[in-house]
Amino acid sequence: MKDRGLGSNGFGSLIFHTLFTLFIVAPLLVIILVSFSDKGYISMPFEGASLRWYWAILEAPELMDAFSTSIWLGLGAATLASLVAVPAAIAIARYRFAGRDGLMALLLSPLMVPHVVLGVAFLRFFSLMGWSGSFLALMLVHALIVVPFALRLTLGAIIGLSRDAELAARSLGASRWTAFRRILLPLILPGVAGGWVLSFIQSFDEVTMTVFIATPGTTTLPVALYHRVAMLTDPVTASVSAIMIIGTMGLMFILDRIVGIDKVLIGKK
Amino acid sequence: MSTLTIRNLAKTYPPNVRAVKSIDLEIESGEFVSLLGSSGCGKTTTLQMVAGFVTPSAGQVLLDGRDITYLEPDKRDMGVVFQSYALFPHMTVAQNVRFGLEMRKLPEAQIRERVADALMMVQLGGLDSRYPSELSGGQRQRVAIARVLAIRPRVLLLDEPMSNLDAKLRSEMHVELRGLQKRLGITTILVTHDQVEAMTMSDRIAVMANGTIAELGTPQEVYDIPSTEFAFNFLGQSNTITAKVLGHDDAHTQVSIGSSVIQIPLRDAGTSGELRLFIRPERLTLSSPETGIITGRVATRLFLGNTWTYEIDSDFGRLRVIKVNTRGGQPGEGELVGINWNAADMQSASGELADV
Repeated sequence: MKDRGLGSNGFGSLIFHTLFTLFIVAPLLVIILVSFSDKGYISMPFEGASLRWYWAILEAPELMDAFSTSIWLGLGAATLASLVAVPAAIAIARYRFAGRDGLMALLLSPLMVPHVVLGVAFLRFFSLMGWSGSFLALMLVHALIVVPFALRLTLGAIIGLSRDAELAARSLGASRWTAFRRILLPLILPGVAGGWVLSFIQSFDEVTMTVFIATPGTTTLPVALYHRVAMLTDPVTASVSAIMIIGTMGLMFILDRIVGIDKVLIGKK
Repeated sequence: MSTLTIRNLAKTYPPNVRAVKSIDLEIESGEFVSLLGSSGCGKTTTLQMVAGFVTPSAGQVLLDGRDITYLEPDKRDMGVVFQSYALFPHMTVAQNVRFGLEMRKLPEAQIRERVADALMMVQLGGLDSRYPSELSGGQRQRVAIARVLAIRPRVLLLDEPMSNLDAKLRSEMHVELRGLQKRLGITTILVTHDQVEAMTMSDRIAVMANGTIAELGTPQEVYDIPSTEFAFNFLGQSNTITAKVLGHDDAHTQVSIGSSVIQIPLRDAGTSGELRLFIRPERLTLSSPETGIITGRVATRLFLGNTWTYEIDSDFGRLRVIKVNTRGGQPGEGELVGINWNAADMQSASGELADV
């Protein structure tokens, strides 16, 4: 059969895809353009471009705090998620045990539950437990919702990897831990790192759930932007958005370098 | 060096797959034993139980008399060469070879010396800093061998190590690896489905079928005087002939095959009933029709260079004869020929062979 990959679309579908892509990209381009405006309201920078709204970010402490909260939250959540995903992926890929399918379903389940539902549920849960306003609690919840991404990529790296190299290491005198550290981990590192980066992006961008449970002390950047837009409409939101767009693109580029973006999004091996 | 004893070793996978039913094998120090069988006969599972990768369901593995049945693989001092070579792709040749030495926490000077020695033994000097992906299949296999030789293992376990090499390289490696094994005196188990490999390399061969050892002996013993019908057909080729027992004396049994009555050097075959006899194609010789024990007509003949393979229709049914391609005329298709054999070469799988 003829291979109909991304490069072999017919004319009709080419037009469709162009329009589709334009539809997605246009708002992003507009936001980036607006961020360079020199006016005090949302406008195109055709009459005068400036970086004033970028400097303005530095003078908005609530945005700076939210930015740092989001960074630390993303780092913590992605790392926690990877610490759960790697052992889980090894167990799922290597062993047949009772509850194996259950474990897999449990770890992937955050993908199935709408984030609004999670937000309301955790809002109630946190206030019951007295955890409202706890950064650690927020980090745990973020770790929970990004685990599926870390797990999928790590699993992709382990499944299909022969056990022989590990067994060879064991018989050459390596303990289980040493065989993991020196043989298996380096071999699956691209998948683990890719999962970590994707988890970080997911955590950083999450707003639907976080808006319910973030408190003044634990406001993330997307939540802070949301609140700001609700109150006033200056181009600072545009400049922050532009930075987020560029940052996400940068991380996606890194992800593409280490694992390949089609592998992440399509699950291609 | 080390002796290895395998006692009643068995592996059952859930729910009830008996991969290995019961293996008993005593391997002497420095001995080279092959586990020969087709896929699914349990040979690899047996090797993995010896290596400690698979936990046996029953039985014991003893190394120099010490029970190691449930010992972790890293405590066994065994060198395993895998069919896939299992090199560490993210490490150079030298790093691969020194891995086992680092695990043993040897001093750096000694590690360097042993790595150089091991690479020299397999003639891979100078490739230290290459990565496995930059090596040919044959070179990778040599690295895998050097890696296990470097740790000076008490037992060498080879899991079909030659099956990914081309035919010429494979036969060179047979000779080379066997030489190395003899020189170092390492007790070795080879798992293979290649009978030529098993015959050329081994001191003894264990022919495996259905999770047990069907035949155990030196290569010559298992080929020349196998005791099971399975071995007759699995190793090399055999003509199977059904004979009717007429009677016997102290040393011989009289049987009728077709219209012929012949004596075979076999006791205890009973006084009646049927008997299945086996004879190797190369033990049958052709002559002029009047001098043969029986006569037959050539149905087909195949030329293989060094030999001719004949299919001959005779009173005994269709017989396969392998004849060395000597100078002079070879009988052609449709010709009448005489077929001869040495009485001792007509064997039975069930009975005991008399001394001849």
